[in-house]
Amino acid sequence: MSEERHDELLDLLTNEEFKKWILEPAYERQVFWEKWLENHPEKRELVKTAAEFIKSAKFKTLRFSTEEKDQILSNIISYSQTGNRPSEKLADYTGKSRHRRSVPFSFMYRAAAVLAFIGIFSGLIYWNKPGDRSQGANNAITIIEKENPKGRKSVVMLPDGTRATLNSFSRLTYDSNYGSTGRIVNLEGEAFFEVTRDTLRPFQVISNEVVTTALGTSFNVRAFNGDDLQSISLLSGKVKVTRLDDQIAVKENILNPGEGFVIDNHSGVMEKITFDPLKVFGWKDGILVFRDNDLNEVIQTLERWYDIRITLVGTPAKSWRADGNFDNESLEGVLQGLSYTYDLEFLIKGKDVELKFN
Amino acid sequence: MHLKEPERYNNELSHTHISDRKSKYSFEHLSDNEIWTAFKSGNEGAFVYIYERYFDSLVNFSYQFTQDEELIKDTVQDLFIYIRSRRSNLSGTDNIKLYLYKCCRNNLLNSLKRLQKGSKMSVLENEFFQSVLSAEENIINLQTRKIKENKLKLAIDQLSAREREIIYYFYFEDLSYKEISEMLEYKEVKSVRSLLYKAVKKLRGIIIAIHGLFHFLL
Repeated sequence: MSEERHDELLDLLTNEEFKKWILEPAYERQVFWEKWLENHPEKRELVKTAAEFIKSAKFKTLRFSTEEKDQILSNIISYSQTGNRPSEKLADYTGKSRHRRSVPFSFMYRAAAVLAFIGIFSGLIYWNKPGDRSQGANNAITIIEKENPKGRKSVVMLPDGTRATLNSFSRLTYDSNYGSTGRIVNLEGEAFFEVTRDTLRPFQVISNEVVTTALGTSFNVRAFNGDDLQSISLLSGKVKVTRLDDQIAVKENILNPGEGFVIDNHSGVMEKITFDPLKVFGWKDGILVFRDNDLNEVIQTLERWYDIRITLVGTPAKSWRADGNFDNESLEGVLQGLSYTYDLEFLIKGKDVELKFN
Repeated sequence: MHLKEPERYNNELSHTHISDRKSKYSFEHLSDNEIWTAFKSGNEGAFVYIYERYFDSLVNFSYQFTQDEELIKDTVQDLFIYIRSRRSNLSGTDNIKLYLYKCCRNNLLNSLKRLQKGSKMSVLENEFFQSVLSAEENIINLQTRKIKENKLKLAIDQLSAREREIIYYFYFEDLSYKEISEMLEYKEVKSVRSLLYKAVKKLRGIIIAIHGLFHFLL
């Protein structure tokens, strides 16, 4: 013991404060240790040796790609939604003695989850599938599901190289047969598709009874559950938009770049429009766009975008409208921007935001 | 012909979201305790924040125990499924990282034990926390540097798995003695310090030989 006390190098290396100074040199620590060195100039070499050792402590590193990270998150979320709780398997996580079940169990849960999905979505996927229905449901087709919670976007790469940028609060499903005869995906919510060209196997998005068919193109589909309208907007190429129950396309069903359809989910009435590209496609690049939006629209947008709750103090003038683009801006930045131009003050308290009108 | 966009369409288009990097914003300034409480009470944003914040380091931590990337993936995934499905029943914590690391470590060690039924844990442990300590970067002569690095690696490999693990937590993860004692379930915080002391004592000679040569640079 006494020998240990006399070894200054080891003392430094095992000194918690010293280590912290080397690894995260915050201001106060910097001041403290520099003062200490001033008083002990003979310790300089020792300090340098210790610091170099600490900084050189490296271990192997492993990092999964963003796609893998996103995939794992959507696995986690879909597990919870199928009600297949892995709690049995992991019940003893923090306890002293653990008897975790063997690996095959984790496979069982996966299988159970998949079966549950086949149960839930079979109507949608198999019997409502447009065109080809020759796939037997019995040859082990599994449903692949990608889902984002609020406040999160992800990119889904489909087997044929088609890229789907999936917005938050949105779900994309397709079966493991994807690409073998056709390319069919189901969408709830919003996604932007960049479709790999393949004239033999058309790419089809089914969104609330509407089928959008493309050969090789990029377009946006917005079809949130509970919304009255859905919209399909074309960036490049050509798409055909039809009702699920009436897929005979006439000339009017074809979209050219810059054109879009707005479809009433109840009546099925389709209206062709032209649109502001930034407003439609901005979300996928993180650009928040307001175009003559009223206060309710602004609040709803911010709440979904940043996963916050907004409360109002006072009321704005009836004519209150907001315009503006916010390119990958923080919540504070957006509110700052709005408060400069419009008559409002704000207060951010974690997830709660107060907007005050004078 | 120029069709005016229907009013409702305008509304639709503003229901958009931004990448997780931005939604993080509202949690960054909260304490671990507040984030954990929000998560426990069902806040999805808090869950995603915790996932985004700790996923990479949990993967890297797990990698210190095994090269098996599938096992690492399963372990980390199961950990998040577990906390998500039992969120309301979880105990509180003011140290999320430690909580997750501890769960992850326990679970991974159990999986490894099960998978390696035949072999002894001690054999397995030889592979844990393999260091890649690098010598001082100022050594311009690559060959000299290689030799020094090898010497250091040899010295580190002589340490026990437990000693290497403590070095990893203390210097690489920047954990405190108290956190390490909780992770490894030591009753006394000072036992961790004396273990670390013993470990660096074994390395003392090599540290001086490698890092002590460059004093003139100061």
